[in-house]
Amino acid sequence: MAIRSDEISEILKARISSFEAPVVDAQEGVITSVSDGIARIYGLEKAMAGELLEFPGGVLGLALDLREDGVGAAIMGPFEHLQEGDVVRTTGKVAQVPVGEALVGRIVSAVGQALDGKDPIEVSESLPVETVAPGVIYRQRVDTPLQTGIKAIDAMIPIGRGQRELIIGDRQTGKTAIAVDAIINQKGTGVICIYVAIGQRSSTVAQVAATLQEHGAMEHTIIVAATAAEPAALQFLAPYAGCAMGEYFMKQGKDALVIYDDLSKHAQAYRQLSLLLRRPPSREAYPGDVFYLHSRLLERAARMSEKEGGGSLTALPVIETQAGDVSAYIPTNVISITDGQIYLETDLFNAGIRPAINVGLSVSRVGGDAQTKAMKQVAGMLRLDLAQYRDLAAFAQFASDLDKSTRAQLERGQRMTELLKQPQYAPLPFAKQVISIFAGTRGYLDDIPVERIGDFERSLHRYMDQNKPDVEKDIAEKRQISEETDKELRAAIEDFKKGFAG
Amino acid sequence: MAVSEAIARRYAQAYFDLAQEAGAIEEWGRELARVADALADPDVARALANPRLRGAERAQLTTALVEGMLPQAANLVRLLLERGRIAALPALVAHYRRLADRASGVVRAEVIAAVPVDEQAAARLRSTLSQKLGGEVETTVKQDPSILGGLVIRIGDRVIDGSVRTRLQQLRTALT
Repeated sequence: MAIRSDEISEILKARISSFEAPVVDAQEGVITSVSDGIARIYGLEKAMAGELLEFPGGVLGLALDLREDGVGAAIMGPFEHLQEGDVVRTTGKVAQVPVGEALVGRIVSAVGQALDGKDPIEVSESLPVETVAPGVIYRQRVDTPLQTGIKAIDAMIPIGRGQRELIIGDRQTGKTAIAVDAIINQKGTGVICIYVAIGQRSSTVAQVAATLQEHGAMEHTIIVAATAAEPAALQFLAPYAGCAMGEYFMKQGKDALVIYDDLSKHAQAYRQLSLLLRRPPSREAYPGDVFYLHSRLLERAARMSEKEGGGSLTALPVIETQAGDVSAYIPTNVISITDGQIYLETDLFNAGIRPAINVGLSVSRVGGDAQTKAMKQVAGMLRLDLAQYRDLAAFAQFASDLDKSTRAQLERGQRMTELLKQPQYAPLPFAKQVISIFAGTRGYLDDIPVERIGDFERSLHRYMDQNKPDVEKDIAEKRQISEETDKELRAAIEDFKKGFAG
Repeated sequence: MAVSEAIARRYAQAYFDLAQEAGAIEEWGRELARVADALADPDVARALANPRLRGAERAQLTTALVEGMLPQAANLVRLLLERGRIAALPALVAHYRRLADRASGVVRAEVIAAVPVDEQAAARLRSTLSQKLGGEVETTVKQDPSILGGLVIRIGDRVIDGSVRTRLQQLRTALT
């Protein structure tokens, strides 16, 4: 260590003499009972709803239950050291979280403390965790695409900036994988991503962080982690904290993406708090306001009008279903709140179709408004074609006995399905997606065997990069396929096919 | 505990409203305090709480207790016994005093200092508090060396903490 010991004491002396300790003026109450992370406090008449309370040992709590003679608080931290008779003080602050640029690239807790072992986070601004969502007057239509880099989504279930799109499926169907790919694809677009992990295993969160780091995505991402070991109060607060962090960027006119992984565990944490606070349980023991829990969170995702800065906050909530039951309580709630869902199925996943998106049940209610013209030109009929293919798929076994047009439809459908498969961590830029789907929908794949489609696509991209880079650039810049580009693209693909060993 | 607190408030509020109407808040308050004292006696309390006491005997005991009391205070005691809420009486008295204070604009403050406070300082403190809080301030001064220095002032739930101990704790948080 190069610092001398007297230098350290000098620093300390300076800090001590410049230390300003304002007189504490707060409300005090006394704990009458504490158990399972909930403390009942006598007194605190002037406590505000959702106010932060200070417990002995520097632990914070959230005042959730305001009663005539006391307050019920959820403790956001260890509570084993608390006893009946301990004094609790108000902080005068309703739950708020640090926000700002300093958080980007970091892993933080639901209250903004650094969890990645680096320097403590210094911010100049805090935003309240709960705010009223922007009203109708302050919004504009969702018209700008948020490219996830996943062909199946960007072509058929396009997401726009400011939209809420639900990712729903059973466990291990690739929900988090879609979210991670979407984050990786935002590199260089100026979109700040916030990944909120609620009730997950710490190992999973660490893996996500490492993956993002590996693909250079941490430099535009904030990870808010309230893992399964954290108190329910922190798991309850985490999504709102992440949303507040995203709103900071939205207010500045920037675009932000927030992913809530997952809201099922969020509802469970809230259920735990509500039952311990003795609030009446309703269906599946969830409290009566579990719908409001999610609706007020998701309504804060918006596309602001130009007058308000033109920023946006896109939300991708994740819900885990049990045995594919989308008609359970929480899934139906969130489906009715969001502007569409991406439905992942275990059967598709096991059959090798990854991402395992069921195109029939998935929908984006913003739809074509969030697509570039180029994508609409190539993928406009894709959904319908695949739907027709699915209807016919049962007949695939009788392929030899069918008429020519039906067989052609089957073959096309098989090839398109194969084309839409995509490996993890390989999001495709929008122009490359257009080229791939162009080749598929214009029939250039019809004579390629299904199992060679993946190779074909990769080789085609390589060919285009080496020999015809202008075509891709043109599509990327103009965002549509002009007649000229169309001709060039066709020529290029035909050229490539001549050299491709089919 | 929490349940009897809310109940005590209701009864106290009713009793206070009547006292206010009668314009005899202080007098009724004193009477109430006397009643509470009488019933605080463990033998009396046990006797009243005895579930084997039959209706007629209980009525007799009650009459003997409330003899010489103000009729309204007596009624209150009878009502509490009837409803089985006699345990709420101490909380009732405390809440009545709070209501009376609020009505007369008196603020009760508890001042805690590490060293003994002389009369001059106490008087200055009282006048400053009256200025800041508005209304008359009655102070009870206590001594507690564990706060190390400075003052801690408690007014109801509100605490104004200027103690050296708290400042040191804040300093520790700032330095670590």
